[in-house]
Amino acid sequence: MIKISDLYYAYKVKNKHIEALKGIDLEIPKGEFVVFLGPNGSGKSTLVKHINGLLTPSAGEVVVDGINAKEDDSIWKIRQKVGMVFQNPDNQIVANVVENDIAFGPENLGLSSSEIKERVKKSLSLTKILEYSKYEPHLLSGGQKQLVAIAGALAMEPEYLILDEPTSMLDPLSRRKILKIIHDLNKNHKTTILLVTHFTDEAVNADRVYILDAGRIACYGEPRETLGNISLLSKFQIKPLAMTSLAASLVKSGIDISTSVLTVDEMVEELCLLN
Amino acid sequence: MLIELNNLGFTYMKGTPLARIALRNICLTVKEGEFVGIIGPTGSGKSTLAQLISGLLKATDGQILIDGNDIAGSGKNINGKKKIGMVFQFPEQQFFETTVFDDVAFGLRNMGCSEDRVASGVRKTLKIVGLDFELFKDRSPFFLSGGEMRKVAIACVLAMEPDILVLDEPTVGLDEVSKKAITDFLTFFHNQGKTTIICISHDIEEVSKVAERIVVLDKGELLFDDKPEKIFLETDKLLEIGLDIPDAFSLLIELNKKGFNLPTNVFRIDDVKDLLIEYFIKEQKARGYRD
Ligand SMILES: Nc1ncnc2c1ncn2[C@@H]1O[C@H](COP(=O)(O)OP(=O)(O)OP(=O)(O)O)[C@@H](O)[C@H]1O
Ligand SMILES: Nc1ncnc2c1ncn2[C@@H]1O[C@H](COP(=O)(O)OP(=O)(O)OP(=O)(O)O)[C@@H](O)[C@H]1O
Ligand SMILES: [Mg+2]
Ligand SMILES: [Mg+2]
Repeated sequence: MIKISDLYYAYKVKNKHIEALKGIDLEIPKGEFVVFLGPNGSGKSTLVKHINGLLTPSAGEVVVDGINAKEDDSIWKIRQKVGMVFQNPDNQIVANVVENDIAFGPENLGLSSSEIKERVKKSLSLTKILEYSKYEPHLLSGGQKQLVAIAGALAMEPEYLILDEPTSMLDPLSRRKILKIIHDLNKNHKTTILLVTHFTDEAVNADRVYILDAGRIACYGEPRETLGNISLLSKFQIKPLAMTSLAASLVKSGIDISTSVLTVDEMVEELCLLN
Repeated sequence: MLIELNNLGFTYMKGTPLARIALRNICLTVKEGEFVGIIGPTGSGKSTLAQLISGLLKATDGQILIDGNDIAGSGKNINGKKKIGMVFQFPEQQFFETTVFDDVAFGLRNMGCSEDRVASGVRKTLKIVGLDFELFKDRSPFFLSGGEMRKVAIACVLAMEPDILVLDEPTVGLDEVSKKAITDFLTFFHNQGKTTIICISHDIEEVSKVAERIVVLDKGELLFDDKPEKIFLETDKLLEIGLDIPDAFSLLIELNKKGFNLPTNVFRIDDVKDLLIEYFIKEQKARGYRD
């Protein structure tokens, strides 16, 4: 379980403090699939960086499975449990060859070389980048780099997987595939997933959605409660799903369907009932 | 400015064992003032094409003519005037100053603007991209949130008011309000003058709202070049190469599978809404008569 209490964080730049988190309380049970939404600069990346010890709280506590990230020697234990895909893949790439880059995490876990090989191969094929395994990561396209970054985190097989806008530069098909991979991990391996995204559709099948605003958790709930509530979303600059806004307009025009429709399939169902 | 690509090709590390063909035989003409969207799957050559048009890469095959002049290797300067601006896929690659102000001011100072003009230009441009001038002017562009960085990168290029504006996935990582502000501004900028805009995106719905034409790349080749509504007629091919069609359009297709008989020549959510309203209101009336 991840337990965050009264977390504050300020970046120190020059002689100024930029308060990025202003009192976050959060409990994420093991095995949950949670999504963080919220406007630019609301603190999403800052928050998740605390969970694997990349940032240390200015005040408050972050505890993962009873381990407090604040204590120096605990960082290592936490990093073994918590894997992370960075918002910018360039910040994550460490090696000159894709397969070595993906091996980096597992190597740090002290796994046997045969196990490392096995995991690298598995991650490469899962993310469909086997053909680039010998390439230099920084000579890949934007989306290809993002796939390398995802493969690297997957190879660590962490208990908690944080993904900070992992699919922002992927084509729609690759995006769907990555979503499927993390949902499968969540279902079959009980991996806890923390996904930060601006794509509202990526939150539809989550267990819980958190909306951040100005360094605080503005609200949270199940996808239908949050994503299905257009006025709530617009308050926090989040795009409602196409079908949800369509449902709202149809209802306004006197067509009697549910307003919390999220997907095309649900919309088809609703409209067929009318027909 | 007229852009002509004649059998344009690009191979990275050409002539070495590591050679990689990124683009092949691209023929494309973009007229002055046109707004062209470029879509295509991961690795299809979009960024390479953007860098070629911006003069950051030199064609290895074929040529690029801008107003009839071959720009090969000329960098960003054509006829001595700085006329092509490009927003990079990774904003950090664009920054080099220590403050947001200086980075956005760079283009203006280069154009010889007075410091007063520079200051008002920076203020205006930061406002367009939705960044508070006072809060951001002294910040380092390298120490911002992902979305804030992209907004600064866009501001740097917009401030120069280029004749040709090339944007490589400019709305990645932006929240909804910022996205809309930037696409609205692009439309305004485009309608206002002679600016030619070339915009790469994975969001086919978003580009089809603003672009007059859409070019689809696949594996380094030009697959389609047509009006948005024509591109959507190629649903099967788009899905096959890994692209998407807007949900509103999928909805029409799915409804027709269930026996609705709706036209499939619209794809914007508002048009689909009108279509459905008309359908159901008629339906209700028809039922009313029957009952
Ligand atoms: N390295 C940094 N140095 C100083 N300030 C920072 C740094 N990174 C982020 N900030 C500031 O902290 C606040 C929160 O930023 P954060 O990156 O957590 O936002 P975010 O919700 O992830 O936004 P985005 O959607 O744009 O990625 C913002 O005001 C931002 O300007
Ligand atoms: N600097 C480079 N050196 C060698 N090969 C490269 C380089 N940059 C890109 N490539 C390769 O060229 C091809 C086209 O890359 P490009 O970056 O143009 O794709 P893209 O369409 O922009 O993809 P994405 O949507 O992922 O950004 C890819 O296969 C990529 O691996
Ligand atoms: Mg972020
Ligand atoms: Mg690219």
